[in-house]
Amino acid sequence: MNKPLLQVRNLRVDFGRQAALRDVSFELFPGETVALVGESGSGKSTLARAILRLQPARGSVEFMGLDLLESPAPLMRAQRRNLQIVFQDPLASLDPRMSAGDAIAEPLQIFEPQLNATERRQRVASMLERVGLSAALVNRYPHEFSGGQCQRIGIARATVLHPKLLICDEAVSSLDVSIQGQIINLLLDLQRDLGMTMLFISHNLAVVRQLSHRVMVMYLGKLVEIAPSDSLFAAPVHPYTRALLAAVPQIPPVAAAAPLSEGSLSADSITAGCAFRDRCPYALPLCASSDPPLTELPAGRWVACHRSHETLNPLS
Amino acid sequence: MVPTLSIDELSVSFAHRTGTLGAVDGVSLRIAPAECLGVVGESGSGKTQLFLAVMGLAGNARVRGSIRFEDKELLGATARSANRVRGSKLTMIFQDPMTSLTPHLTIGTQLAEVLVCHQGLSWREGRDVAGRMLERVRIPEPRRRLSQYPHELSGGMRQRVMLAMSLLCEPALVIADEPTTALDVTIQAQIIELLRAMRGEAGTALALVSHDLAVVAGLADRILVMYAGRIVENAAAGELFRQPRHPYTAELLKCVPSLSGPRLARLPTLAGQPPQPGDALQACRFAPRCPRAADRCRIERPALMGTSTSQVACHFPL
Amino acid sequence: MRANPAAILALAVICALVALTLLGPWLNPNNTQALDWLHVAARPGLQSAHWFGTDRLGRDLYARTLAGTRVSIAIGLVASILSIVVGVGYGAVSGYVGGRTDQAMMRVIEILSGLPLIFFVIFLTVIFGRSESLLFISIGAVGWLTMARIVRGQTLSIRRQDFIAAAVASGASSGRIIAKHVVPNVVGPVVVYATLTVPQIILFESFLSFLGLGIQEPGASLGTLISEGVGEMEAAPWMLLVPGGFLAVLLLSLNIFGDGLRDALDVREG
Repeated sequence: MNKPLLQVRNLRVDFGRQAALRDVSFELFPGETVALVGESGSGKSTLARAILRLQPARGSVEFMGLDLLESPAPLMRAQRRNLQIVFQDPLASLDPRMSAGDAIAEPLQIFEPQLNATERRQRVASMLERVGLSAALVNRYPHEFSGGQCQRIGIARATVLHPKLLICDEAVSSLDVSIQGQIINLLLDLQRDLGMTMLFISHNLAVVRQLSHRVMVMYLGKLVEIAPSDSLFAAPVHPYTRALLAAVPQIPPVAAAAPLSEGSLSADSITAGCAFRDRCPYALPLCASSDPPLTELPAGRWVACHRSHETLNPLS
Repeated sequence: MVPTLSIDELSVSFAHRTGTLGAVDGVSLRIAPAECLGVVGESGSGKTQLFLAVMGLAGNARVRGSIRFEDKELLGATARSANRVRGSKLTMIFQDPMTSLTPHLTIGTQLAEVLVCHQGLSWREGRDVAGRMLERVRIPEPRRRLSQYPHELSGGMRQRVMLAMSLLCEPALVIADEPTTALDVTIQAQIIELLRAMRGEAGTALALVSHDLAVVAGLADRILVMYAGRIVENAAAGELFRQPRHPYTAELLKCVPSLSGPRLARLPTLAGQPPQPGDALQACRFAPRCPRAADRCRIERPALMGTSTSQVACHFPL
Repeated sequence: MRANPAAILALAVICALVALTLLGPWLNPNNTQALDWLHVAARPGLQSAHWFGTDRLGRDLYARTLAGTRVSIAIGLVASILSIVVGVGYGAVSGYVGGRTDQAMMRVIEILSGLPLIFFVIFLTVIFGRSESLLFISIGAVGWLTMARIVRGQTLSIRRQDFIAAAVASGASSGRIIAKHVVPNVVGPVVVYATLTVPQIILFESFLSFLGLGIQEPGASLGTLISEGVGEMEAAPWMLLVPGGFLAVLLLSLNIFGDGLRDALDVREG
């Protein structure tokens, strides 16, 4: 039985009256790539930031045996070398006043101060090459690079210390389609070489399908479905997951079911019951009064729906 | 039959510190009445600049060539005559619904303004027509929206308002520039459905600009593929997906991950990146990344050639 | 910078003025205090010993104007440096740390800003007597307030950006983030603001001296010179025009240069 690398229990984040994360619990095991999908307001970015303590949160986040939320700041800082993140906007995640080399060198300066300048320079150069950039670009500034190149620098910075867990927060969403593949392949290569676990956050289901072992689906701050990738895409259970998959435009175009209506509930207006009920074609009166818990189903699946045990007819 | 929009040898270039930047380089296209043209391209393709120039929004750029709307030349026309057409018969919807609407004016005012300015209606009449248009774009609680402010509406609703605004004067052509890119997938599906319905009802021509091939696939009759400021392929939608003729189109299609089809160990990629400002350009701008490139491609610019229904700009088309 | 000839010209003028004030005495070694009874209220002329003429007491206007300009430039420089060093540090810490510390630090600034500057200076003058260093201190003591506010504002908007989150995620301590990420990124607005406040400070000093609160006789400040010149406006207009002209040119050049600097630093977005 594998011991989980990351264990999140009852994670809660509130922005005033708005509940961005509501009792989120899950586990990540070493070596796997887990995708976290959801739309705006789902809380997926908030989840990433809460795990990294970039965002105050309540609950527990156990990483390599240490409760990150309860640790004193210096201990947390020490753990950061094992827990890294790549952000969505490649240019914004780089300090405009620091060269590519400086940006990649910073984690080395913080965690490996025993390195002298030459050793550090060598590590930076090899990291640049590793992510597919020429070492000659080491003194260039972020605005001199394209989006894809900036993202490579961000990845180099995040992986230079060989972290155990890499969180990719919409890391390819702002890149051209023809560049996305390059970056994803890079991430997969690094994962294999460095033995990293990856939490891949995205709203793009097609991309997620290609690289994840397991998928977690979020809606308005709650996990509504967790399943192995193949079974999720072949046979989604939660009505939201189904609607999400049906809404993705395809080539060649498939005859679309009636699209999901716009919800009227938002994160701050949910009081009781399931947050998805106002858009759900299968909603029962029960759904308005009782919020379904995430329940385990056979074959490693978890679903938060009162009707998950039924075989629901596809929408026509 | 007079095409609704007729563009000939359009060039849009910017003066830059390092020289001139050609955002659009010799583009020609036609949009027939009631046709839906999809324009697909990645960053630097020039697809947005092309249509900004059509709408007179090209800013400091130098625009050369010809833009004819219903056989009337727009480039070089007086501001007055151009403005009579733009915003009423030739309208545009932009990508970011948050910044497209004026934050301090109500929806009703902004919609009515179009009618007051272009059709001489009174404000009361304008609001009335606006209310009916909001119903047509299926916004929930349409009458209530008239007195609301943009920040009170969600992204999807704002985009519906933009669509309503663009349809108020019964335009012959609506240009939609990445209309669903900033929206959630489920909302995107609604807007695509709405665009389809609008086309059916009103018979308006639609120019749909997007980097997302799949979005365009659902709506377009014909598709133009642009790369580095030029058109590289022009074909009927079904044809393009079944049998792409330009190597870029073929590679792009391979790069788009799909929900069906096999799972791959590695994603297909297109090496390199689109030309950046300041890069030296070869005669065929795609040559550096093209798996089929030969010497001829580096020195001789491929012209857009083919039949009236299918054209490609390549020396060695597939 | 190539694109802004006005700013380059302004910079050249500023440099010329600085050079003149430093080297001027070599060119025409007239004393600022010496009274030349033979040439009282003499007109300016390149042939005479007094290029810019003299004042009511026969003192050489050239030497005195240069001395006054020297004071203005010095005070502009010192007050700016003081306000930068104190203001940036204070504002960056306050903005980055946030929370109650930030609130407290801002309260201090608000209270100090509430003090009318003139009364503050008069108050200090009454207690410590008039002196040049007092002038420098009192101006510098208040100059950092707005700089701190500006830097805090910049810090608040930078703090939300992803590259700060990335630095935190990389394990950087708050001190390191403030020193290496926040401060270098507020440099742009700071420099621009500093060059635009220098003219304000110079004007303020001239104003104080004009009112009789700053540099006083027999010292020379552009303010006192202008004050004297106003009295002689009809009979000897050069006594007003020369120092007034120098002040105007200095302020104008600083303002143009400051604007040019801001445009140049924004060139990435251009």
